Amino acid sequence: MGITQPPQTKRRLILRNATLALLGAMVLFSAGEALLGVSLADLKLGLLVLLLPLSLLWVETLDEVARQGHYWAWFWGCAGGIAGMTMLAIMVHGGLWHQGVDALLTAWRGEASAQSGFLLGLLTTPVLCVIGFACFWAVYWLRRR
Amino acid sequence: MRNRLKVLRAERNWSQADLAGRLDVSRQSVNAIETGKYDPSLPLAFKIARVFALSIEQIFIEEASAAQAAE
Repeated sequence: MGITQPPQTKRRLILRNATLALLGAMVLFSAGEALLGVSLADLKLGLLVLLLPLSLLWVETLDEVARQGHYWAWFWGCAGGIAGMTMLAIMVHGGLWHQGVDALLTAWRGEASAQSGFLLGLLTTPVLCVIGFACFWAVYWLRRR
Repeated sequence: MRNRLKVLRAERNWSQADLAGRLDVSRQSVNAIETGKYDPSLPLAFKIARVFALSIEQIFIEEASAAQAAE
């Protein structure tokens, strides 16, 4: 016996798809930058500005089980990400991984400058947090299948 | 917390997706509640009770009460 989708479910799907479309565009722009060798930073910044309110509206439409999953996954994922970042910082600061960092920066930015190092530092923590979030989000739903 | 959602659903011949639609939550959320892996908030418990036209106590059973009843 089927029933029509409630308005909140429709709204959730529309907002989720719009959010995913913007994220997809962000990935495409990044790939375009790498392939064409041009900077699309302005466009990506514009997408981010659109993405923030959209994702807030989407989170508002989530049901409580999904929302609890987000809280749980962000808490433990970010805790793991920050712990990982702290370990990396100790390794780099202690000189345990200098050559590795230089090689990584050179491969990524073409030079191991202070600016590249700062950018890597800025990006590493959120990337580790997002990876941690994705892992804990998967665990949350796998346990509740 | 134990619950009778699966039985109540079967009595009405509803799928998890049907119940999810009535509660305006995802099918995965209904599954998580039904299998006891997530205890719903009071507002959602009242909504579930309203959908089945029963009281909350007729749907959700506290583990301690269930154990006492079994003794």
